[in-house]
Amino acid sequence: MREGISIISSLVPIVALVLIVVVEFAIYKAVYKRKINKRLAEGREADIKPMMSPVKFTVITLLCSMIVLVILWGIFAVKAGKRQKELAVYPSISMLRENTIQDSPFAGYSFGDDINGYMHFSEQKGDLRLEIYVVKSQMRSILPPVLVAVDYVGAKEDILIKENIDYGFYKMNWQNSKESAASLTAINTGGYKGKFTYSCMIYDMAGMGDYDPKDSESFFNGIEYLKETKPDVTYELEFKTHQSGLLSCPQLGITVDSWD
Amino acid sequence: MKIRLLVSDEHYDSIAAELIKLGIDVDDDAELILSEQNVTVSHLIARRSDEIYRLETKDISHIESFAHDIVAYCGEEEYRLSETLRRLEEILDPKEFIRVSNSVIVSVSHIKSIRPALSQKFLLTMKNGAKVDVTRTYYYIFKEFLGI
Repeated sequence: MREGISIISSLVPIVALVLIVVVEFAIYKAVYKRKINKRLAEGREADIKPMMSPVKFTVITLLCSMIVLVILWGIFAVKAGKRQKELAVYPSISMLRENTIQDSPFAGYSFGDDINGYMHFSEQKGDLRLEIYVVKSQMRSILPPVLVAVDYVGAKEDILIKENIDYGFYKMNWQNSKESAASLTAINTGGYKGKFTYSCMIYDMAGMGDYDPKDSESFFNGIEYLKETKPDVTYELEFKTHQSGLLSCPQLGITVDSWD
Repeated sequence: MKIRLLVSDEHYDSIAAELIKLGIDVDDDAELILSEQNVTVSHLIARRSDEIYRLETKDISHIESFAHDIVAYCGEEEYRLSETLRRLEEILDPKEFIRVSNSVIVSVSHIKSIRPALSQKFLLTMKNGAKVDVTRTYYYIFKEFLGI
């Protein structure tokens, strides 16, 4: 259906252009012929201005029409793009924790399970384990495009898991302790088309001293601590949402045949 | 010896008299031609069947070349001329006659209508019904001549 619409939208301006050219050629030729014969009847001294030949006039009209059509197309394309951007859903995340996941399509999920409608990838870097789920193409209009489940399998106690999504024009980050980590995080890219990066970092908060994520003061101190501390582990994935809506991630081996 | 004179009317009698004095006959049928520069003729000597005619140029619709024959059309009738098309182009009134192709000279006052063709050509319909093409080579010359 989308291809059909784009073929029609390409044909309409071409047909319009051809019609314009044919009609103007016919009219101009009739006027030109009338003027020539008027000149013939009134003689060479008659005050009649010369006209360019119909073929030359047609070529000029064709060029001008094409320029006008290109300009109009550009204006409408920009307007359509703007409207599309305004209407687009903004990227967001949803954290599904123990108390909310049971009332979702992912009810019953345990770390490492397969999820229907998703491609499942298991990754590990150091003490960081990630279960990454990328939606299958036929489900992309129904389910969130990416799901992530994170687990720390090391021995340290005071661990902070920080996750980040960078869209370039917009960034989101969130952090959880080992205990409060979400069962599943749903990454919804909304109407965004382009590249984005998902990062997951493990911070050892033992160096901070008394870190208690439940205490607001300690929590904010932790934010400052993070700014000055390097993560123990960092894991990054680069995704791209194509114009078709399909998602690619070379690191996970997901590729898309696309012109964009 | 016979000579044909292609000179202006005002000089014709005096030149003819001089030639006759020298023992040279002035004959419109002669092969040798004595012509005056920058002079256009008002009549041409033509043949039809075995007869010789004096054609007024104002009566000529168009002149067409067929291999070795040069034919002048006056209304419905055709006459053979002995001059070449190039020569005729020189001696006929340039304000009245114009060459429109490698083989045709037309009289502008005998053109009934002009129809522009798709490629750089005009299709002329003469008053006697004949159809003549202005070819691509003469297209701009004809346009400029008519001022169109």
